[in-house]
Amino acid sequence: MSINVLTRSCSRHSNELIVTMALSAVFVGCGPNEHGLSQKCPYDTAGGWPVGWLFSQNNPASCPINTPPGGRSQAYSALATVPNGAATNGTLIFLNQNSNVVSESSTVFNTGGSPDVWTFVGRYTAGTIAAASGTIGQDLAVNTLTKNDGSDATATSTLTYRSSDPAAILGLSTVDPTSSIILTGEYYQSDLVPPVTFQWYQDGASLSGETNAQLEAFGGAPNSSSFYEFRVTDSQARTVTAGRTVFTTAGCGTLDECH
Amino acid sequence: MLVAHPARRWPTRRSVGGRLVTAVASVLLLAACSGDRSISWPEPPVTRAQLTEAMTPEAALAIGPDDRLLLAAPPNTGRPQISGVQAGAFAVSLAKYYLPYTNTHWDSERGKPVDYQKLAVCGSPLYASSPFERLEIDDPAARAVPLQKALGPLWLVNLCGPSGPPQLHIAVSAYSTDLRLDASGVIEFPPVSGGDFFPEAVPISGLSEELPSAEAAVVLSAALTGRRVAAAPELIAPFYINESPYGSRWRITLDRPVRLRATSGESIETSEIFIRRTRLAQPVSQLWGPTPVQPESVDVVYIPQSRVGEDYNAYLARRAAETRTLHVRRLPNMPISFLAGGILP
Repeated sequence: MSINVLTRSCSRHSNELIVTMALSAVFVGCGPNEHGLSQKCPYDTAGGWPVGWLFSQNNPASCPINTPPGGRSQAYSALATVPNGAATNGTLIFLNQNSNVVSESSTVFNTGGSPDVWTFVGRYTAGTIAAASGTIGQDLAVNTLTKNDGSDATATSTLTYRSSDPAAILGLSTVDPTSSIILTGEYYQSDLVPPVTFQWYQDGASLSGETNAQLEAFGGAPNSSSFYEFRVTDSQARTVTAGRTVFTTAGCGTLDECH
Repeated sequence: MLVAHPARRWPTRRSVGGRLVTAVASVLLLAACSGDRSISWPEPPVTRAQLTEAMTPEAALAIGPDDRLLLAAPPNTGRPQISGVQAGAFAVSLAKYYLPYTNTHWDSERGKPVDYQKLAVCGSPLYASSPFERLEIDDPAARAVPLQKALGPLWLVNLCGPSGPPQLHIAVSAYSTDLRLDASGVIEFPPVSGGDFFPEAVPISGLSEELPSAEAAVVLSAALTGRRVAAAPELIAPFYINESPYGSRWRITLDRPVRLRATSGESIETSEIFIRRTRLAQPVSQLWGPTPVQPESVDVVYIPQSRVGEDYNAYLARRAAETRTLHVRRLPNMPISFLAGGILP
């Protein structure tokens, strides 16, 4: 797809065309769309692909890109880094709000080194985004890493995930009760007016003092999980949820069995 | 580590062709050992004279009119495979439409932003044969599971920008017949997919690892061993747990055995040597020999994938019940265990 084609499509302000471009995750900045929202440029034509949501987020409810109807799919690419190279299988599964599988990408290749960097690519089909309420549904991305003996890899892992879909989810990692995971929050919404502030939430509650881009989360009781959110607020008091993740603690009979 | 033994078995003939061969090998070895951080791209062309000098007359019949070796067509594995052209198109699409989401990692690995939107296939995709039999669970009538893709044959694709050396290496499973490109050239993945790609950014620092061409591997092998190459080389994929797909090795058949010796003292006599890529600026050898005793199989864990619409907890229960270890048999005459080699100074 060439830049010229994209630019031409933008100028027609066709909703369908815009959606199509969002699916392909390439978009050249052009004027306001029919919703009056500024469209953002996710890559710099001078070279390089910076980052960014495809559209501004000040009114997600009215933007079909931000709240794609069921059946719309989004390309995604995710990475999981396994510091000690212990894993031999990895999966990234998208679940809808009913905990039904929507999509899965598995990775078997590894670098043979340490750390391993695992790549997941695929299409995520949004099915339960709560467009009517103007909120983003809590679809989840579940990432697991497994050893060659079938057991969960207990290494600390970090999953970074980015999508053109504002319901982007940072991911999930399974760790043992004695491990921690570094969650890295990122935001790519370039129309936020600096300065911006960060705040982490756990299961809907604000985490006191956790106002940096990174959060170290520790494993809880076996077979437990927590839902983390990373929110960004700009100087205009606009708040966006820049990422979500579920942090699950592996089920271990005893702590020793987790190692 | 293996070393050629003895060093006195280096070529003694000093014909013009021999000098060329030695010169090519010297350049490669110097690049590997001197800490030179520049990437030679494109790879210095190997001439017909060099190839002819390095190969037996019978093997030299495989030299094509373009002075490139005619490599064997992908073998019939009993499962449909994509072509090298298709693999290249998938790799370009992956780079353009998917990897930019995680550009921070790839740009960091390269040391400079990757020109995602300007990449094109450079050179011919190389086919790496699988050393394994197909999984016992593999159903050729259905799409290949990710584990089968990782254990199967691969296409190794280099992606370059408008100029310069490759920016990305992308290994594509030859069994990725379930992928499609839409009208915009974007890969359409099945809802449940995986095991199709293994990308790697190429560092601009010169710390990259580049697999030599088949022609360069032949010339290098002749120079290292003092033997002639008796057949067109074959690229063999490694066991995925031990090495990345770029650990694929050229199998080089020599006209006479050569004795290789490991630094540990172990020595083998073999008519087959293996050439793999070398990390420039690091003393890692390109020369490998097969271990005398090869494992008959490897153990891998099979984890069933989820199904669209499946309840996640139900899937977890099914996964726990169906996950099992599979014994994957090695194909006859396909080594999977190697000893790293080198040559005596």
